[in-house]
Amino acid sequence: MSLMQPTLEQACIGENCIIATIGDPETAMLALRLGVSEGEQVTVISRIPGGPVVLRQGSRELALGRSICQHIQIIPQSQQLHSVGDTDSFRIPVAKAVSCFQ
Amino acid sequence: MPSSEITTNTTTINVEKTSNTTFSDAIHKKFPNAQKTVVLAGNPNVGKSLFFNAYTGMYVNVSNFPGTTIDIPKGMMQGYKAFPNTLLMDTPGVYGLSALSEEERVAEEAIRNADYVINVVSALSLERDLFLTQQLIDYGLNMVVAVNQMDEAEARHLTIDLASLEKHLGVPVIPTVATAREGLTQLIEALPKASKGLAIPDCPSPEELLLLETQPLRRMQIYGLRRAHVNAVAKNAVFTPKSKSGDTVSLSQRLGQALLNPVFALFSMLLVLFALYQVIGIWVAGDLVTLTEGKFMLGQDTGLWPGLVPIMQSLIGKLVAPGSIAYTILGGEFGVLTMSVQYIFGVLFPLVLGFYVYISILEDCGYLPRIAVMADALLMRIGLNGRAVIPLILGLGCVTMATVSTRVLTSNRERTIASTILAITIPCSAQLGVLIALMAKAGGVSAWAVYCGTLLIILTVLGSALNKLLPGRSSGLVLDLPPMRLPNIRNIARKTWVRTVVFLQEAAPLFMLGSLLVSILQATHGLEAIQNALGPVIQAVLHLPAQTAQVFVMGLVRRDFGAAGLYFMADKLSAIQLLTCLMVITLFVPCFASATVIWKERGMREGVLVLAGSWILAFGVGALLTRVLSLIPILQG
Repeated sequence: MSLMQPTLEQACIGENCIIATIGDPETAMLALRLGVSEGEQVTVISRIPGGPVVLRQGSRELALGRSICQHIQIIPQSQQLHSVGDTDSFRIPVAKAVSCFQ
Repeated sequence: MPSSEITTNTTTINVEKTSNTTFSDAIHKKFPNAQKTVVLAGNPNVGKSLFFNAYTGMYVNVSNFPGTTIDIPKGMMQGYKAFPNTLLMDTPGVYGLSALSEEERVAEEAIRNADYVINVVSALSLERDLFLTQQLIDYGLNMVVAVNQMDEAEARHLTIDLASLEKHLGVPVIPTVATAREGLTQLIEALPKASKGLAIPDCPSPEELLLLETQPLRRMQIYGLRRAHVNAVAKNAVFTPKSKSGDTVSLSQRLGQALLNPVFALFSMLLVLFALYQVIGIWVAGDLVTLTEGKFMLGQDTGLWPGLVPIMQSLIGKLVAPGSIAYTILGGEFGVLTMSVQYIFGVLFPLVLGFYVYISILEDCGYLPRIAVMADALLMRIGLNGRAVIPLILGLGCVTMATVSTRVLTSNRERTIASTILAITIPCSAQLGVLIALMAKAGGVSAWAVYCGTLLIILTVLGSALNKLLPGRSSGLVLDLPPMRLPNIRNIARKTWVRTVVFLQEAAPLFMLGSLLVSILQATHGLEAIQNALGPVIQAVLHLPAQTAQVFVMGLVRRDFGAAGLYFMADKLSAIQLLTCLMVITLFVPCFASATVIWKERGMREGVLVLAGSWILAFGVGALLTRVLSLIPILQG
C-alpha cells in the first residue's frame, strides 16, 4: 500500500498534506527531531525545479532538499476526505499526482 | 571497563559504560581546579556560543558538524561568586542525542558527565527545540532551560508563556537575549535550582532509555511519543498572533516568496554581487586598505607618522644586524614581524571584517537561506548542498577565510569538496583586483567569457569527479527559512566580531608561519632558485616568457605581489599570453596562507593532494588554453 503513496517530492504547491511515513530511517530520525513527524500537517509553499521543496508547518517555513523529500510519503489533501484510519480511503488519484510531478 | 547489566523483558544485556572515567579524568587533568562542570546543550544556531563567550570570556565558534575530531570549547567561568572553580563546556549544536553521528556522541558524552546542564532553546523555534529538551529530561539530567532570542520573538509578535513551560517541563525556565546580555545573570542564579524535569508519560528509567534508543524500532516509538508530548507542551506555551481574516500578505512574506522564483533570485543575486563589488571591492579593499595598509602600516603620504612597519624594522635593527639572515627573517621584505603583521592587520583584517559584515547582513535579513534554497539544485550536482553558498561567496573575499567557514557544512565529504573547489577555482578579491585591471588588455569581454567559461567547466568537472570518487553520500538540505526582515544591528555586530576574531586566531599564526618559510627561502636564495628552475618550464609548457616565474612565485607569497609584477610585464605580453597567465594564477593554490589553512583544516594528506593537484591542473589547463587560443582566434589583439 505504501508503495503507491506519493512523496513530498510530488506534492503540489498550495497542497495541505499530512506526513504519512518516512521511508529512510536516518531521514525519519532527523525529521522527527525537527518536528516534521508522522501525522504532522504541512503546506507546500514552493517547489524549486530540480531542487528543494519549501513547506509551511505551523508558523515556520522549512526547506527540504529533494533527496530528503523522496523518502517522505504524504497523504495529499485530496485523500483527506476520510479519516486516516480508514484504509478504504487510500485511493490514489493518479492523474492529479502526475500533474504535479516535475 | 566497568559495565552494567540491564534486564529488559526477558533478555539480559551487557552495556559497557564507556569512557565515563576517562572523560572526567581528561577534564580534571587539564582543569585541576574545576570542582563542578556545567555543559551548554542545544540545537544549532540558538546562540549557545554567545553564552559561552559571556560566561568565560573566550571566543569560539563551535564547529557544529563532523570532522576528524570535534573540539569541545572549555573554559572556567569568570565572575560569578556562586560558581567559583566551575568549568563550562559548550557542545556542538545537535537536534537530539544518539550514537549515530559524531557530534551527537561527543555532545552526549559531555552532557552525561556534567553536574549541571544549561539547555538553550530559541523562542522562535520552541516546537522544534523542545525535542532535545525533553530528551535531556527523559535522561534524568539536572538542568535549566534558557529561552533565547526573546527579543526576536517579541518583534514577530509571538507570546511565550514561560510559566506554562516551567510547569510542563518541570525545570526552571529563564528568558534571555544573549546578544544584549540580558537574562544571563538570572540564568546563573537559577542554576542551583536546576532539577530533573518531568519525563514523558510511562518513560523508562534513564539507563533503560539509553539502551532502548539504540534499537531502531523502539527508538522510533519513543521518538514519536516524545514528539507528540513536546508538540502539546509547545501548543500551550507559544501563541502566534491571529491573522485578521482576509488580510493582505505582508511585504516580508511577498519578498520571501518572490525570492523563491528563479528569475527574481538570479536578478537579486546580481544586484547583491554588484553591491559586494562596490562596497567591498572598491571601498574596503581600495580606500580602507589604503588607510590601514598604506598609511598606518607603511606610512605612505602621511605627514609625521612613519608607518608601523618601518618602526618595527628599526626596532629589529637594534636587536639584530641589518642585512643578517636573522634580520631578513624577522624584519625583511617578507619578515615575520613586518610583512605578516602588515598583511594580517593592514589588509586582511579590514577585508575579512567587511566580508563578514556583508554576509551577516544577508543572513540576518533572511536573504541567504533563500539563496541557499535556490542554489541547492545546482550544488547537488557537485556533491554539495545549498549551505555551501556561504563559503563560496566568502571565497570571493579571501579563500583562506572561506576555507575556515566550510565548517558550517554538514559532512566531512562536503567540506573536502568545498575546500578543493575554493582552493582551485574561486578567485579571491586580490586576484579579482588583478583580473579587473588586466582583462581589458587580454581582450575585454571575450577574455572574460573564455576565463569564466573555463573556470565553470573546471568547477563542474572537479566537483562531479570528487562527488563520484569520495565515499559516502552528501547530506540533503534541511534549512529553516526565517521571515524576511530588516537586519538587527546588534546581531550583525556580534556575529561579525566573533567570526573575525576566530578567523584571526586561526589564520594569523599560519600567516606568520608562511612568511617565516618565505623569508627563509629568500635569505637562502631559495626563491631565486625556484624562479630559475620554473622559468624554462613556463616557457615550454605555457609559452610565456621565463620572467613570469617571478610573478607566479611572488603570487604564491601574496596574491597582490604577483599582480605588481604582472602589471609591469603586461605590455610585453600578447593577449593570449596574458589570459593564460591569469588563468594559471587563478587555478593554482592562492597563497601560502591558504595553503597552510587547507593543511590545518583538512589534514596533511588532503592538503598535499590539493596543492599538487592544483599545480598540475593549472599548468595543464594553461598549456591547453594557450594552444587552443592560438588556433581559434577568439581574442582580439
